[in-house]
This record gives sequence, structure tokens and C-alpha cells, in this order.
Amino acid sequence: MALEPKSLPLPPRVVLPLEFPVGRVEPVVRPGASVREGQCIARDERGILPDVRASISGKVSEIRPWPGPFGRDALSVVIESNGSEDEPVRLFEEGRPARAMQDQLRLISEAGIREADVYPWPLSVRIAQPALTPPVLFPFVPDLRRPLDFLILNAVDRQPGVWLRRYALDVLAEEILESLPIFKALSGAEKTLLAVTRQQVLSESLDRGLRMAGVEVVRCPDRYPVALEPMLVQHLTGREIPQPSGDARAVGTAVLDVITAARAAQTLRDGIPPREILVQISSPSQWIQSFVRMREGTLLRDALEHLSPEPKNPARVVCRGPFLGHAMYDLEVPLAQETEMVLFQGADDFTPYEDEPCINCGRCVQSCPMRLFPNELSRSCEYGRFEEAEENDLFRCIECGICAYVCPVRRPMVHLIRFGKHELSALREER
Amino acid sequence: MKRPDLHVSMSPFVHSGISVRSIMRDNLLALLPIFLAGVFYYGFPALRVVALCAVTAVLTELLWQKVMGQPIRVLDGSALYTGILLGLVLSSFVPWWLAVAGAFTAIVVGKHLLGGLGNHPFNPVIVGWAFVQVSYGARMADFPIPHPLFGMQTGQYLADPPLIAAAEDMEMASWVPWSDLFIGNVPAEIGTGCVLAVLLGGLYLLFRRNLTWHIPAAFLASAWMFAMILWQIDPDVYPHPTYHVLSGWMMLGAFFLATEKGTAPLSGPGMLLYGVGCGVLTMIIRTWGTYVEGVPFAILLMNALTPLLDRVRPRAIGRNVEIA
Repeated sequence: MALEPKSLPLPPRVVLPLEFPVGRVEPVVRPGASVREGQCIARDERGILPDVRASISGKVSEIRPWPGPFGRDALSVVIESNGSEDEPVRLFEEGRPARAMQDQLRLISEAGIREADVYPWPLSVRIAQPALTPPVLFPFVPDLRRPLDFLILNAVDRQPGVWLRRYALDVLAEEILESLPIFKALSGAEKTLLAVTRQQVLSESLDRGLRMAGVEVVRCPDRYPVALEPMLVQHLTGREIPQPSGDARAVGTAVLDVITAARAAQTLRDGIPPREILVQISSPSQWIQSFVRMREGTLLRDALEHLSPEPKNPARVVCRGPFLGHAMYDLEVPLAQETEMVLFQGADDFTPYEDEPCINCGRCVQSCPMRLFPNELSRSCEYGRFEEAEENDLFRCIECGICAYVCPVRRPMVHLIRFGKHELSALREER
Repeated sequence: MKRPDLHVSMSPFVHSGISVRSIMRDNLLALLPIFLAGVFYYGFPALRVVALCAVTAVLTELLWQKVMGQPIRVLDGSALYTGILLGLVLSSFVPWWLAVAGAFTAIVVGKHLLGGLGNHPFNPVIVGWAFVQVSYGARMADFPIPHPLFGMQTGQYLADPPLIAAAEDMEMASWVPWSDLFIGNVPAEIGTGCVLAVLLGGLYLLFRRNLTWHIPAAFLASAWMFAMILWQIDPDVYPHPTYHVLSGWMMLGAFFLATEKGTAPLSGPGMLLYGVGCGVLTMIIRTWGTYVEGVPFAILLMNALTPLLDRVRPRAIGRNVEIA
């Protein structure tokens, strides 16, 4: 049995971002308002994105842009703690859980459960069977009428160096088991799979529970990027998710990671919105590897004060993992549900990118999981030939970063590709 | 509050450690058995030619980068690799100035004038070789009889490299044992004789993922099959396909020359087509051309086709997926 994660004391303040890669939610509180933990502080007017709920009790001190976990400033609500752990706001009365599937879906969205992976649609849209999602509500999601054939619970960590899901399989086993019947019913999927790595050891009780729930355990090679949605779906079902929409509904599949599943199950059981998050803190060169439980929105600087051993003198701080994450320019960054892990690197742990011409070695072409030609894409974007890049499937790049990882001249491949995508989107908007 | 000095960049934040230098180190290691085999069979003169080419190539690159005001990258090993590989495709009897002229041309014309590392359309080694071959062909057509050490029997029954022997006298060529071709116990250029050594180097590169199997496999298989057809037509006129594959530049070309980065396509189907083109053109030139050895010209021609072949690529994942 794995060690229980270390729990941090209540932070003096939390910062809750309201902007996400798929859109933003509007605050429903004003600066100066008192909030209780679990209270809704922002919601999506379109009713699609999950609400944002206060993770501590206190006073909203300001609502302003703040460095966010996705590497850019995001409008955020800052809550100063009142120093006490209040009785949280409940989503339903104790002992009277929601049984209707419509209500369960609504609760998952209202509880503010978000995922670490970036999907085109939030959880409640992706996993709900056609009968539960009125198409009127989501006319822009094309494939909601298609029934789900596969529901894939993903216990494979997205990138090397992250161990969170494997760890959760141990410490959150109970909740994960609880979530299985819920999500099987919600999705109406013909087959439910649990994806684990080849090396994963399943405890006896978990194994028994999975068998009783009728969930098939499938083993994946522990080889990046197998855990990313398009690869995972293709690996397990042989179906190819159309790109660039990346909409798994189009091929009748839904992927859900085990941590999100456990959080949802907990919420539907207790009626209390989850206020805590599980974060992995790693500093490989200082042999620091720990799992920490804290209130969502705790600033990294506040969290570090309570960590021992504490990562010292970082030269680079990365949220969300070594391949898919974002480097932070400040330690005043909130740790959100999407953060997953914080990586500290010393000055000797990384080699900077170089401004070098491509030498056509072809390693990126050999290793690109989407079968693209990153060498050409990076050149096209570098020289401003964006249309050419688009013809060569620029928007089908999932930015996994393998091309930059293997590049012998250390070209900033992902940087160039994102630049190209950004410029093209900007051009579109102008027209 | 003072902000900490944090380094900001785009993802990913880790790197495999592969560099031009590490690639070239692997390439040079792969050339080691070939070089040793050359010295084993042809002795000190082989060492002399390879060393001349290597030193000239490195000094030329250093000079070029100084004169052109480019950053000095000569230590990445790419010039050394080009130089040594050029030395390995010359006969150990060539005069010193010929080796120097070849290496100089390879670096200045083949590599830098045409685009620099990985961006030159033609294999610089073959460009350097072609220059001296066209200018001083007669001086290069003189090959030593191997005199292996350790009491090994020499292949003295051949006075010329196997391909020339076959062109002159098929009867004679049919007597050459394939084992001698395989271990390189015949007159040849320094690095092309010993197929065993080339295979060792090539397998090492495959193992190190510096190469993929596509080009060598397609090259050798198509050449073998083409030769097989000819041999089926008339075994008295055309040498056996295995004789073809085991002799001349074929192995070195398939593993080391045709695969030069920047001059070969990168997509799987492109590489296969390119390899087949190299193999077929080699056999056409060997059979009906003026030159006895077809490999370098076949590779140069296919180099020119590379930008076209690179358009042949597999469908990207997620593109035009039929939604069932």
C-alpha cells in the first residue's frame, strides 16, 4: 500500500483561475464578498463548462488576471482565507444522493470537476449517453447522437516522470471502484476498459472489484505518448480519432482519467464539492518526489513553505509535466485541478533550445505519433509559410513534444508549431 | 516581492541528449570496422589515404567557417565523418594530392556551397569522389592486391576488383568464391571490399537508430532481384545476383552513402522508392553503362529525386477519417 499523501494546512489565500483552454467562465461574486468553501463563484453562461467553486472560506479580495497553470495569465478570483475550516456548501442533503442520471451529470458539472487532459468538451458532455444530452443544448457538438461503444478509464500517466494516476490507483482505489457503476450507467457504453501500464500491480481488492464491475483491465506499454487520448483510443480500440477536432465521440469512445472519476464518485456520494487536489512535486536532481494534498488554488510559494525537503534554487519551474507542461515565470502560480505535477529543474538539468537550422536527420519524422513531418512544419512556421504548414497537417499536431525531445540541434519545435497555429488562427479572425 | 530568476521556455522541458556530435560519434564508430578491415587488407597506404582525407576535410571546414564568419562547428565531427568516408571509397594507391583535392571538394562544394550540414542536395562524399573520378579517373583505377595478415590466404587470383574482373572475363569471375567477396579478400577500394565490416557498421547504425531499414533493404533487394532477372536470362553474360550485391560499392552505398541525411527522403514509402531507384539504377549502370561501378551515380541521380520522393508520404493520423 502506498503512503498516504501529505496534507498541507489551510493556505492563507487561494487563486482560482476562470480561463481554460476550452473557454472561460464568468464570476458570480464581487470583490469584497464573503464566500463559504464549496460555494459557486463562477459559472459558464452557456451551461457547458463546469462551475468554479471556492476551495476555502473567506473573502474575495480581488478578481484580476493572474499567472495560470496553462502558462498564460488567466482572469482569476483571489480569496483570502478567514483561517477556519467551515462546513462546506452541500450540493444535496446528506444521505440523499442523486439517483437520476440527469441529476448526476448536472452535479458533476456543478461541482466544478475538471480534468488534467485538454479535451474539446467537458466531462459531462463527453461521457453522457445520447439520451442524456439534449442536442438542443449542444448543437455545436456534432457527434452527441452517437452511442458510446467504449468507455476507457485511464490510469496511465500522460507523460514520463508523472506518477499521479498510478499512485491514485492505490490511494483512491475505493473511490475509483465506486465510480465504475456510475460512469458505466451514465455513458451506456457497451464495454468499459481500465487502461493501466504493463508494470502496474493491482491490489487484490481492486482486482476483485474490477471483475465484479465487469471492467476489463487492459495493459499499455509505458511508452509516451500512449496515454494521450488519440493514441490511447487507437491503441485500445483500433479506432482513429479525426483530427484536428480531436473529438472521441466521433468514433464512439470516451476517455476519463481515474482521478477525475474518483473525484466525481466522491462528490456524488457525499454531496460536497471537492475542494482539495492531489499534486505531485518532483525535483529529480534533488531526489525529491512527493505527493501532496492541498486546497485547490493554493499558490506554489505557499505550498513550498510546508514541504520538506523543499526544492531549492530552481532554475526552471514547470507545471503540468515535463512534456506537456508550461514553464512558470513566477512562484505565485496557483495549483489547480489541471496542474497534476510541478517539476523543479536546476540549472544543470536542462539544455536550452538553440536557434539552429534543421539538419534533416529525420528523427522527428520517425518518432512522430501522428505521422507528421515536424521538420517541415517547424521550417514552414519559422519562415512564415503558414498556409504551407497547414496543408501539411499543422493542426493535426497534438504538441506532444517528441520531435523537440529527439532533435539533435535542439530546435524549439513545439514553440514554432504553436506559433504557426496561433498566427493562422489570428489570420482567420481578421477575415 | 522580488520575483525569482526563472527560466521560461516552451515544452518539452526534457531532452533525449541526442546531438549532432553524438550522431557523428555513432557514425564514426560504425566506420571503424570498415577502416580496420581496409588497413588489415591493404596496410599502411590505406591508413595514409584515409588520414589525408580526414585531415583535409576537417581543416577545410575550419577554414570555411572562419572565412565565412560562421560559428565554428568543426568539432561536431561531421567533417571528420565525410573525410573518412571519402577516404574509404578511394583506392589506397591514389596520390596524396588526389585525396586532398577530393576531400576539399567534398567539403567546400558538396557540403557548404550547396547548403551546409544536412541541407546539401547531394551526398558530399560522392560529390568529392565524382570530382576526382571525372578529373583523374585513370589515377584512381589502380587497385592493390590484398595482403592480409595472420597467414590468411590472399585472393591473388584476381588482379582487378571483382566487378572489373566480371566485365572482362565472366569465366574468371565465376571462380571467385563468395566467401572471399564477403570478407573482402579481393582488390577493391579501401572500404568497399570487406562486406562483413560494412554490415557490422550498418547493423550498429540500425541498432543506434541512426538509420532505418528502409533504404538499405530496398536498395539491396531491388538490386539483387534486378540482377536475378538478368542472370536468369543468361548466366554466361551476367554475373550472379549475389556476386553483384557482394562486390563493389553496393553494401557501403546501401548503408552509408545512400542514407546520408538531407539527401535521402524521410518518409517510409519515400525511402523505399528511393532505395528501389538506387538499386535498379545501379544495376542498369553496371550492366549497360560506361562505368563499371554504378552505385555512386545511381545515388547521385536519386539524390536529385529526393525532394519529389519526399512528397510521397503516409496519411497523417486523424486525417480524412471515415466516421462510421
